[in-house]
Amino acid sequence: MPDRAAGTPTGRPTAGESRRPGLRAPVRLAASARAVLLGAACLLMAAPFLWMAVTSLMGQLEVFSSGRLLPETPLWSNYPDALTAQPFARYFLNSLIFAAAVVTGQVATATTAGYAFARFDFPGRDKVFMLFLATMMVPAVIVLIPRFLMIDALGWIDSYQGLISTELVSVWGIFLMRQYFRTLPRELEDAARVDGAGRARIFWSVGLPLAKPAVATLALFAFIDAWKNFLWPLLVTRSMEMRVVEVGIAAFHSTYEINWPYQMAAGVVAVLPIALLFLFTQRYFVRGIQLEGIR
Amino acid sequence: MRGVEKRFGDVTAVAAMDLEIRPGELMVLVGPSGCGKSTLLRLIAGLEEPSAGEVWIGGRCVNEVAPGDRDVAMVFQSYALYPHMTVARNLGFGLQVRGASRVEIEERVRRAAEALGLGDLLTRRPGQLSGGQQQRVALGRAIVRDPGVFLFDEPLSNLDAGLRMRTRDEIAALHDRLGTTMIFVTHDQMEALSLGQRVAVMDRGRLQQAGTPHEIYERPRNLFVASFVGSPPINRLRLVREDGGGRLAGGPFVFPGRPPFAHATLAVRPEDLVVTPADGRAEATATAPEATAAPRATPSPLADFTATVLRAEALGSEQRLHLDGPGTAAWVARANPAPALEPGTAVHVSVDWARSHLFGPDGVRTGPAPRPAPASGPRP
Amino acid sequence: MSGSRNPVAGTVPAIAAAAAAAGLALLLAIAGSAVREARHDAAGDLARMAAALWELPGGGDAAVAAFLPERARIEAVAEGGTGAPADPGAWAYRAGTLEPGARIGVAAAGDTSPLPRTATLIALLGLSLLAAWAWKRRRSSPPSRYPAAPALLAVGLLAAVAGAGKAWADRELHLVSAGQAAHAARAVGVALATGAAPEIAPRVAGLPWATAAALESPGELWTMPREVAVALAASPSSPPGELAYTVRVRGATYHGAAVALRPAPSADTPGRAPDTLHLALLGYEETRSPAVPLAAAALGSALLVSLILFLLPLSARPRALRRTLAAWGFLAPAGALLLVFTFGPLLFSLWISLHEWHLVDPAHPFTGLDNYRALLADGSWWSAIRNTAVFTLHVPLAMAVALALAILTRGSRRAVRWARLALFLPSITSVVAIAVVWKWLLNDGYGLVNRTLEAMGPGSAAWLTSPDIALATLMAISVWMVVGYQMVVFQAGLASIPRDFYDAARVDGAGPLQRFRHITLPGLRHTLFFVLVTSVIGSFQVFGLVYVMTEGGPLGATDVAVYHIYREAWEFLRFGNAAAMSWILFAVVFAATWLHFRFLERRGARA
Repeated sequence: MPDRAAGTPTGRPTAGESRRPGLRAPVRLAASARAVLLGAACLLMAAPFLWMAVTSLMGQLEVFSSGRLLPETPLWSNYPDALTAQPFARYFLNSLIFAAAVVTGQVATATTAGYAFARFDFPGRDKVFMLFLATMMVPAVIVLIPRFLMIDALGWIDSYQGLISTELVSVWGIFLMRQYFRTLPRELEDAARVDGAGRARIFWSVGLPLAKPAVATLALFAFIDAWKNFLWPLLVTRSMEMRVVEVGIAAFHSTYEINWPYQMAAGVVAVLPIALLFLFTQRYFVRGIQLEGIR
Repeated sequence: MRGVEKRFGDVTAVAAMDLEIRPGELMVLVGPSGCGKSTLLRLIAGLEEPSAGEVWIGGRCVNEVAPGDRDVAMVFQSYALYPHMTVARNLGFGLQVRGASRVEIEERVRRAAEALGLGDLLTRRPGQLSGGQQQRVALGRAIVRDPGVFLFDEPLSNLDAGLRMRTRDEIAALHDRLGTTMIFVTHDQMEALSLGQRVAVMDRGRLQQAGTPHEIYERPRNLFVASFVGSPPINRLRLVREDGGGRLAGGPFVFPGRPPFAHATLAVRPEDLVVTPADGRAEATATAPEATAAPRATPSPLADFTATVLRAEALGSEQRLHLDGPGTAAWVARANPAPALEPGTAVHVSVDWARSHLFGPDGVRTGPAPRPAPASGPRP
Repeated sequence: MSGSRNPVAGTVPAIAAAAAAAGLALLLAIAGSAVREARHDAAGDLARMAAALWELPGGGDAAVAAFLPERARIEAVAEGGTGAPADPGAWAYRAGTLEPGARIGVAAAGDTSPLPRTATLIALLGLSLLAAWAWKRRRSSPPSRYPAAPALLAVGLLAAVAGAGKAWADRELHLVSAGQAAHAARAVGVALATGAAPEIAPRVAGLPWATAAALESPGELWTMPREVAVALAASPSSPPGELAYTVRVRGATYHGAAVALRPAPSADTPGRAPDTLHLALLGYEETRSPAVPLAAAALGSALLVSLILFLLPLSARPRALRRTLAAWGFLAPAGALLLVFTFGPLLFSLWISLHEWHLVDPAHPFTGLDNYRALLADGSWWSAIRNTAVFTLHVPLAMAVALALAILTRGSRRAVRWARLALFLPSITSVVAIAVVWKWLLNDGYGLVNRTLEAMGPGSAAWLTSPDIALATLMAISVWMVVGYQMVVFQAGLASIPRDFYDAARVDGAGPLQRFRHITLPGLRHTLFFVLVTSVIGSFQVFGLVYVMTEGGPLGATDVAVYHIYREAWEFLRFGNAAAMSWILFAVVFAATWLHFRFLERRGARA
């Protein structure tokens, strides 16, 4: 990293130590040691993913031959074979439907509730808010059993509505949106009120458009949480047609116990969308985490 | 519009306010920050609800009327332009909400934009505009709606000095042109005096005085108004009652007659002090610029007291003298720029007593101070 | 003063009264429909019995007529017809396994039962009181001296009606189940009369009956918990004949009926052939009692009425009222979902944990704290808790690594952005995929880790199959998983420490370690605390890793709390136990969080 010595061009006040152009030798040494350390850490973190990709291209028996680190010839056919061995297309579709519905629901509930907590003055507001927040302390497993029984009683086991309905609200999202709405200048909404807009109109035409960054963050986290959700889909789906990717991979794992290349191929396909999503939306993640800290 | 009593909250931001603003009037609310003037404006706009009392606009009590239905338009300190909308949509939002037709909105937006010279900017977003342009858009947004009352909440405070002057003139011109009732909030007393047809001075949630700029300046109703209005601020001197009358605390003269209070405050505007160098160059009388331009009652040839110049600020058109005179306070006087007075110079000061103010212990003005007599001797 | 002027003020009390009325109507409807449905289904069961009798060799119309002389009828159905009942109101039909072209219908007992009269009276009385109060209130604006009184009245009223409704419904359901038991006994009697074997005869009664006679015969017949059958057999008061009686087993009411069996035809049966067959049906008042919907409806209506009454004082200020209503309107979607899927389930879970709640057993007898008491002595559960606690120890380790990484990646150069992707990826991707990869990496014989270690010298280890290190392995993987997320949080925290502090410290001559100790750590105090608490709460709930990688093994070494609960509920179907476990887990998590707060707050106060 040759530009490490150049200092921040914009003079942004990073928390880092000040870097001056004229570096002393120990400092340069420290910088390169740091680069090496970081590189090693990254390699260690990425190794399982790389190994997953490598294994996914190996032959079924090739993986057991010792000393082999790379496939003799990349066996691309593992992918179509593995993905058709079980209806992975269906799993993906289910995951997408599930995640999309959860994102929509959480954005709808969190923006409205967050707006109410941030911008309305009504009796009992803070108590209700604390009550909501308190649920974040409760382990999800407590509500798992009653939720399951309720979904069962509704006859929603193994259906989209059963999968989705319990996941439509996120207290974390409400908290996030409230924090964000509070940072918006109140005068904008006052102006809209003087302009004659009603509450709903202000929310829709002024509040929501301004909260787009926070909505993006929330949507992202909601999507990933839904995509990663394993336990709940495991409980409420029975048939192959209703499985989501996570459950599908787990089932695939137990069916093709020793066919590692197949499993790795499936794993790559499961990891890839999230990796790409993260690559293009990094800043929203970081913003979400920063917003979380505002209290 | 008829403003009646407005009170507010457990923390009293606006207390027992009775204020009537006449139709077509440009009323300025002025006061130090936190005096409740913005709250008062927000009460009028309906953004806050009065905890007691009623707000009347155009002959109807609007306590329960939503801001949008009060026929008021407001220009905010931060302009509060919707950052995600173009200038045109910003201007038209109020009409759009009211369900005006697209054609009508376009027409009115165009007219307002032209009047304010915003024609080229309609497709821009507020973030791409300069502060002055944003200010115009905010103004335009109010004009487009053609409201019964304009409310301005310190709209000029974010502009630089030159632009502020110009915009101030424009608002005055706008008022002349539209003849609409306008209420303008500012913390700048100069702005208030120059802009307002009438000025309401507020402090700690209470109305101190409402009147024309002239009344406010010349006949301040209480000590707060006197010291708030005018720059440099008015000289304030404490008076203590004595046998022979009132005595300036630590000062050399006594006021005849029995002041009705044990303590009182004497206030004299800096321009009402006539400063003459004490070194005998009596002809080089330095008087306040106003006094030179339109001489009032001839200043007494007899100096009222002698003082030493502590510091002199040469401001070009005048010089501002900080004097070490009698009394507990340091005196400030405005004098002609020439001759320049060095610190340490001894000067004679005479006071235009007719224009001075005497305030009782409760701060209420009782009238001008009587001409004092020199004291028999300094008190121990 | 302005209260009488605006139209909203007058309507609120009316709305409150209407809501109360709607709530009461709902309660009565729930109670009534529970009974009606039970009667209807009971008629369906009778039809099934009749069909079974009809099919017996020697059965047919005569058997059906003997079984249900008045209420059954056999109809011819057009070929291919779907068999819509002729008179759906009065007849419950079952197009059973009859030969094509015929079906049996059984009339449900008439819907003559009135809605609970006392409840209705109480409701009307209370409602008129409420309405009168509301009317009076509308006229006089000074606030009431007892603002909560009408709300309490409404709540009490609704509770009373719900209670009366439940009592009435339970009584009716009790009668229906008793009738069913009697009918079942009679059906068995008829079946025996047609010459059916005693082993087969009880089958005409169908499921879900408990039969005590089957105790001596092969176990296929009883579908109820064994202890119920035992209790029935031991029931001395059982009068032979067709009379129904009641036994209580494990706190649940069973309606039993006894049938005299003919002696077994084959003489070589080993053991004593039973002479009396006891049939028992879990009372409908246990399985179909409208308690939960009644409670929910009463609670909901009470909430609604209280809310409206609470809004009443605001009605004099329509703007404030509108604002409050708007606020609740905005809150409604999230609030309703939370109420139904979080707050409700929390209470429900507590309720379940106090019962013996088996998924396939319709009886949920109340057992008080028995579940908890049993868990206190349950070694495997506490070992799961211990494993969870040990597992949680990976959090501080992960935090140390994450902090180091955050300091390393300070600044936002491009290389660092890519590094962030590599570091962050494990914490956001599919847990299951990650678990599978690691399982492969750590494969005993062929995994990359062991192969590398062997090549390098130290030799391989049984990462996941040795009880001694399996948990440690999972902890290491967990560190790998969470470190990226924690790092990003720390980066955000670091960015919020003003750089001036560092410059000032340098000017003061502080070295890097001192700067870390005296500036970085104190500056990150809140961040560290936040990460610690959230990570600990998260790690107490680890599931996916264990499910895929070890299934709690080897020898329960990685059996963590949530996995244990999962197995208890969805493998052994003991929901009551599992619910109690989850509450114990909650207590542990809560205690841990509380300790953190205490500990760190004290540290903070000292610093």
